[in-house]
Amino acid sequence: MSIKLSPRVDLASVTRQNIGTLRRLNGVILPVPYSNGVYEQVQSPELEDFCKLVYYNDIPVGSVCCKVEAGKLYIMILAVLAPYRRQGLGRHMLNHILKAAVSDPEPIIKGDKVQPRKKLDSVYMHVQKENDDAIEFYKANGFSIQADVKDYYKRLKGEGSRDAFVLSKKL
Amino acid sequence: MPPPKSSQLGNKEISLFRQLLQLHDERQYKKGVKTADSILKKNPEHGETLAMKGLILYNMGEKDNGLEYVRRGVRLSLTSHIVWHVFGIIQRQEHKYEDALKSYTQALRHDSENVALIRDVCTLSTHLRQFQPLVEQRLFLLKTRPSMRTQWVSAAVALDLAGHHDKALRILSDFESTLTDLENADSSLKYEMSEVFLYHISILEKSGLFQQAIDLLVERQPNICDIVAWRESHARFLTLLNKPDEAADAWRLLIQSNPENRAYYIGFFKTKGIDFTQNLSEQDKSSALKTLTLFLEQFPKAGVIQRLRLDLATHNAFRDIAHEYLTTRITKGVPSLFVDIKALYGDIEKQQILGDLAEGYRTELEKSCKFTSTDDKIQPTTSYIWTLYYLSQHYSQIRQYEKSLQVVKVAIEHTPTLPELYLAQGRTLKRLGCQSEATEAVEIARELDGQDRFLNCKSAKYMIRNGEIEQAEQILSLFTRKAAPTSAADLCDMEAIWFMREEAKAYSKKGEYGMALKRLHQLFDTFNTWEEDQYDFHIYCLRKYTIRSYLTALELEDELREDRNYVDSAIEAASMYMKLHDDPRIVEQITNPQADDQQDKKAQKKAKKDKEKAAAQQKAKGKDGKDADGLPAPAEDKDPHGHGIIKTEEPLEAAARILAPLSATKRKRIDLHHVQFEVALRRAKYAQAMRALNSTRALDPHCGMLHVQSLKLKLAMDAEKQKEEEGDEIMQALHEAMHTLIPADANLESWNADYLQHHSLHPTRVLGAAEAIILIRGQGSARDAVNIVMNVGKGSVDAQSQSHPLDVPSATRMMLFVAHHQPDRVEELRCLLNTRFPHQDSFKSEQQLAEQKKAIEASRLERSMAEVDLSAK
Repeated sequence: MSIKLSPRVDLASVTRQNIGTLRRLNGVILPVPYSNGVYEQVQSPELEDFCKLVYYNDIPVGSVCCKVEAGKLYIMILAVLAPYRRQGLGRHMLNHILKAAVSDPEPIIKGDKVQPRKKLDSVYMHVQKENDDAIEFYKANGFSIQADVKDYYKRLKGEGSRDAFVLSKKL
Repeated sequence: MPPPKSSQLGNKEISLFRQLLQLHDERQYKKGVKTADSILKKNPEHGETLAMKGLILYNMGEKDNGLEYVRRGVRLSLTSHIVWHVFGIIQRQEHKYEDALKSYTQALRHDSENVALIRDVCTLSTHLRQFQPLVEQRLFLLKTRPSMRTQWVSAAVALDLAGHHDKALRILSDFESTLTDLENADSSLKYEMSEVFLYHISILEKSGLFQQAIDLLVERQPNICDIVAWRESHARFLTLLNKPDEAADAWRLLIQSNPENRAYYIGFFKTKGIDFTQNLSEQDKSSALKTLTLFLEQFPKAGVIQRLRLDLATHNAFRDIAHEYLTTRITKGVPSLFVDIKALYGDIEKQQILGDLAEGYRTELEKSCKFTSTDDKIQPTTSYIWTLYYLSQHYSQIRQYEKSLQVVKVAIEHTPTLPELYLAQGRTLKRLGCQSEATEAVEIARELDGQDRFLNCKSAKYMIRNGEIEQAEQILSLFTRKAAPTSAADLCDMEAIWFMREEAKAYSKKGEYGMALKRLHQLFDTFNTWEEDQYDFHIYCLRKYTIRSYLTALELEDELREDRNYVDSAIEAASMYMKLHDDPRIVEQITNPQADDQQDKKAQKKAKKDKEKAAAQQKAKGKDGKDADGLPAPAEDKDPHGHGIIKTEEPLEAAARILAPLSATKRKRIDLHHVQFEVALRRAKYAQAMRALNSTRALDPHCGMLHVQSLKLKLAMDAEKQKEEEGDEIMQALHEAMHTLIPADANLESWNADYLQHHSLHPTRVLGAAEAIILIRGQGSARDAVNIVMNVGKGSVDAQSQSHPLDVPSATRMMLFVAHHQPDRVEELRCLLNTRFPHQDSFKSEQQLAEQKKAIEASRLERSMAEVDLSAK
């Protein structure tokens, strides 16, 4: 009989201080580099609940980064370092943002103006067509394929690898 | 202050003078000056009034003016205690403690019973460790004021400090017999007397009177509040009195109260005849191990017990215990694991076992996520990474640097977000001498976590070592006070010794001796501050009766400059001052650079920037001269580049002053003696030079530097001899002492050849012989001397000898030697050393360095990349 020692899993907000960690994670896991603008955006307070680092026994090993577009939540990044996959970290992060998306929206404060955030009706993202694992993962979590975009990943080389599916889920 | 004795003043003025004294005590300075002026109108030559006016002006901030008044006052009334007292107060405030004590003593001569004066004298003599006057004054105070408790204790402390333990004990006994009804005293008195008893007991212990000590301890148990101290003393005395059973129980009691104190176990085992400070027999080890295992059952969480077991266990028992120790900590993810057990690496067998265990974990974790195949626990993924982290440090420690780098590379590919991995990588690269790559690794770690001050300092430190001083200061400024003029200024204010040392080294390496010495002087100033910090405690501690802590603080102060940071810095500073002395052109080059246009422009730009910054700061300061944090504005840096320091007329005297506190050091530092010698030789202090040689010889009779320096001293003294025929007694004695180093009738050529032959396998000694050749035969034989050194570089020498392998510091000295005596062969030697130490930055070719720099710049660029904007897709 083997006992599996379960790790401690925590989420932490993306801040000015740990942005370097996010950069490094993305640099290692993702095929495309992101611009500095993205790294600024993910630190904005209104996205705090949707941009998180995941810690596995106190070591940051993955992240989720979303933005809000026209009442929809768009997942830009949901990634975990290869050795730490299949341990429920992705699901943990996904559950967190889904829960946050249906909870009472935090008002957006810009200077003196307080503007209530619109209620989100769905969540969606692009997935590389060849990425079977990811597609399977999202389907298992209630997402379905909405569209097929040709040449979405312009920077990638290789025939099929540039195409993407759009997956989405109603909230 | 008491009224003046002066008869010069009229009645009205006498009362005015009384008023003046009172105004001073009440700090009504403006009124004080007015009063003084009205006395001086009638009696312009009244010294005491002048002195008082001076003191008041001094306190108002007019220091120079005030001091001038005081000096005039002293001259006019040399027999007045007031003027001397005033003078002493000011000298004390100027930190001239010895002068102040002299003035106070002078004042005391004219008013021997002035209690305030005596108290100040006591404080000053304690500060200066002049115990004889201290004892006299303390006993006088005790005689005149026996009703004050503090006089008794202060007198005892004075006697104790002066080494008169028996008298101190008598005073304390007498004092304690006057105490009654302590049980019902208020709590502060109870605490104070408890400290007095414990102090009394500590003197008994110091005097070796353990039976009396324990008797008093037991008798006064109800009066002693510090229960831990009571128990520890009790256990210690029982041990010293050879009562093993009772002592063992006493230690056991302590262990129960705090199972994490290592000293308690050591005390406990001493009662069993097992002394941890000695080499233990196998039998002792195994019996101690058994007892520890019993303790562990009782306190399963006590880390100290677990760690002690690793010290004691051997062979298979060690393997088992180490396995448990490592695995629990790896699972937990304890970053300090390696540092914790590094001390075990002194034992080759343990080192081997630890390495085997960790390699085993690595293999098995890769296969099955378990530490061993029979383990029933499946480990979290992090266990693998912590195992690799341990292994990397393991290989670095046993100098298998390449292997260490391989392991850490695997780890970084696996988990690139753990800063510790980059730090380990950086440390190994640093050990290989590849500072630039090491810096890069540590900087990556810092970028991962911007709010980690440790990573911030580490990265800055590596940058400074890599010569990137400006960039380092910029990074450090993320954590220093925003209102400070520069991060460097703030770190010096914060007494960040590491920073001053690293910058001094980096500047020195660049040849910027002004800045280097500036930082070192800032470091010396910090040590001075620490020494002066004790001043207030001479009064405070005796009033609060915290005598035991006070005395340990005094001990600390006495050994302050034995600290490695001081010793190292003193050696560096003295060496730099000697360079300035040997070649005064250096000063000219630094302070008056004939810079080419480009550099000039750069400097101008920087000056402009500095100016703007200063202006901005001025603005931020506001009206009251305080900065944004409400702290007083820092004084302007009058010597921003240290030019004032290096322009000194007497660099050798400056070096000697810095080395002076180390003349009787207990530290065994051969490099210190080398520098002491060189400074003494240049100052023609031959006796000091001889003493330095003897100190060197005591540490290493075959030292290559000793060889050269003996010769230097002999040549210098012989030259002197020719000058004045007779030579005094001291010189004669020195010549005789010299004969034990170099026989009187020795032919220097054969003496040196002998040495070279004996030590031809030892790089630094060969270097010594080569230097000696030049001293004996003159610069004309530089070619021969350089040939000998080149042979060491070629490896023909130490290939035969594994016991004295060439190391980087000696190799660097070889480079300097060749560069000095035959510059056209430097490149040849550099190539040789480059093959020998391929990673060492200082032996790399221009091209190699340029390529390295390019690679690093590319990696930096990649990390801050801004290529694809996702939103624009």
